Amino acid sequence: MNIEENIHFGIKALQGFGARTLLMLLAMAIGIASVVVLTALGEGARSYVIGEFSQLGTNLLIVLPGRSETTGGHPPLLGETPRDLTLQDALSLTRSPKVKRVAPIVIGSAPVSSEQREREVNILGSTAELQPVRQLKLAQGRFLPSSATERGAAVVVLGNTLKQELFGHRRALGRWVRIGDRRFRVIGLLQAGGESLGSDIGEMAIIPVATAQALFNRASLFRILVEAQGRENIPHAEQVILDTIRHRHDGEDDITVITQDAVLSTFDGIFRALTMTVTGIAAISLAVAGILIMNVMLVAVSQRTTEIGLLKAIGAPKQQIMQLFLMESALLSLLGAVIGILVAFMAVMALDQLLPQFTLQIPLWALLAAVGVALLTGLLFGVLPARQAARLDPVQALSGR
Amino acid sequence: MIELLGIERHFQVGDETVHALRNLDLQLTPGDYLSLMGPSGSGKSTLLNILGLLDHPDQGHYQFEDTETTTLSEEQRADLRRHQVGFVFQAFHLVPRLTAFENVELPLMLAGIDPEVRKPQVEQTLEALSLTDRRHHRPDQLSGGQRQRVAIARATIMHPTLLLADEPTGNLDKHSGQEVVDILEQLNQDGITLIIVTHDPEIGSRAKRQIKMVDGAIV
Repeated sequence: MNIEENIHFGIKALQGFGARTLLMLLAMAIGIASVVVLTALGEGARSYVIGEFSQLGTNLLIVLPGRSETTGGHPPLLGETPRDLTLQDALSLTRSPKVKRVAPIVIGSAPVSSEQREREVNILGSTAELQPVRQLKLAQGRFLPSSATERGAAVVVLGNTLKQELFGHRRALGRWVRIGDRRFRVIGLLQAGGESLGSDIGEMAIIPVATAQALFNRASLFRILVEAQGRENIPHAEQVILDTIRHRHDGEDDITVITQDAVLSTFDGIFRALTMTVTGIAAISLAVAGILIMNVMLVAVSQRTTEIGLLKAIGAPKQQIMQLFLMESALLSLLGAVIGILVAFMAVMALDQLLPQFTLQIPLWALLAAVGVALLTGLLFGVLPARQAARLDPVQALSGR
Repeated sequence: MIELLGIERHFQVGDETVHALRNLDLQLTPGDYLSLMGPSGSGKSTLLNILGLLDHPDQGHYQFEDTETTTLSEEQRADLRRHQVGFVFQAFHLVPRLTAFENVELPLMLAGIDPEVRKPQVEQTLEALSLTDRRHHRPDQLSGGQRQRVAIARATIMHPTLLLADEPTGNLDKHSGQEVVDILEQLNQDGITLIIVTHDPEIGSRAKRQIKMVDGAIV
């Protein structure tokens, strides 16, 4: 008896008990569908967060003042004040060939006003390099001039929400706004961009870094964004940054460099774990389906006792009878898996419509795993009934006992 | 050549031990036609099951052709059943969801015979039992006589040397029963060893050898 005939025999047997087969398929399908849908949700959440982070820019390193590493030992009794990062520190980084762009950042809050309207907003001080590093897009005008790094020009680029609040639909380019006690000319407007991790760039005003330092009366930088020369240079760039700053800071390692990769892989890891957990919980329903399969197959064995007796009488050995019943459970679980995957695809499509900002996709590994687990469940829980069938005494089986 | 020597078979029913067969001896030569008669519980069916290798004697020897069967493993006995023994039951025992054709095909399929080889074989056997026009019917669409003919086709498709019929006419009307016995006798004339268990003295008396059993022994 080859596998094809075995499958054919199994299908005939399942057709013979339609209602029971349908119920079984339902149980299996629910289990598989929930595993697949939950996996898709977890994966969707992961790619959403990763996408958000990627919007920050590519090949990015963030330089923060102070060391945030735990080194063990006693915490310092007196707060250690790290040396500030300065604009000169930032400029010194540009000399390395591993570094493509450097954008120093100063952040502060100040009232911005135009005519009678005033808003308290976050002011971001930076250089022309910020635009490519953060991948900002301009709607109108131009970005900060590249000559203005150390010389503070009184120009500002407005985020699109802020522009709406200050000017409404009126023309803003070339107009003057007041920030704190200084006057700035509007030279550019940012495009309405997506929110990036809560900090809405559209509500910000961007001014040259030297101007910001003067405005907030501060010589230090909030942080430095560094774009490495290609992805493979990120570790080199990190080393260059650490070396350069250590050299400039009298041999003190007093900065922290966060690579975007590290952040990304951390989140990646968290969300993968989350997906696994949720999938694991859904997998419990598969175990339940497996137990149902066992139950149904046990009933099938006792209902078909005389048939088993007959198979034995016409010379079917134990192992062949076992094979027949195992095939039935395998078919049940596989068919259930296929239906479950179809249901999952429909559910994911529906969810995709409901959550447009969330791209849901069923990962291939989830499909393969679902089918694999279903088959394994079917076989595992099918063994006991199949063994029971194979062990029946032919004489008693034929008499229906 | 079949030889039973000192066969004992007992069952435990509650506290009681029932002796189904007591020290039974029997010899059959190829082509024999034997009827087994006797009251219920006299051990006819047990004897038939032991002859068909479905049951195992507690004591004694059973020589099937050149094989001592009492020492065979379960698998070896299954193999012997598959190739040497055909069963016909009172209750037909057709697989309800399979067509007549598929029921007859079943032993060939289990034996792993190629579809191209076995299909014509099944057709031929169905033809011989005038079931050709019924081959795509399921058992519930067949009359009792037709069902038993399908069962006979299934029992003989592997060309066994021994055909065991346990009350083959028990569920049939007189006419169909007559037909079935005629077919079985025809098979016997073609050389098969035939053993019929029956309550019907008219059928029993047609056999060349008639054996009466009482209380697990041949009288």
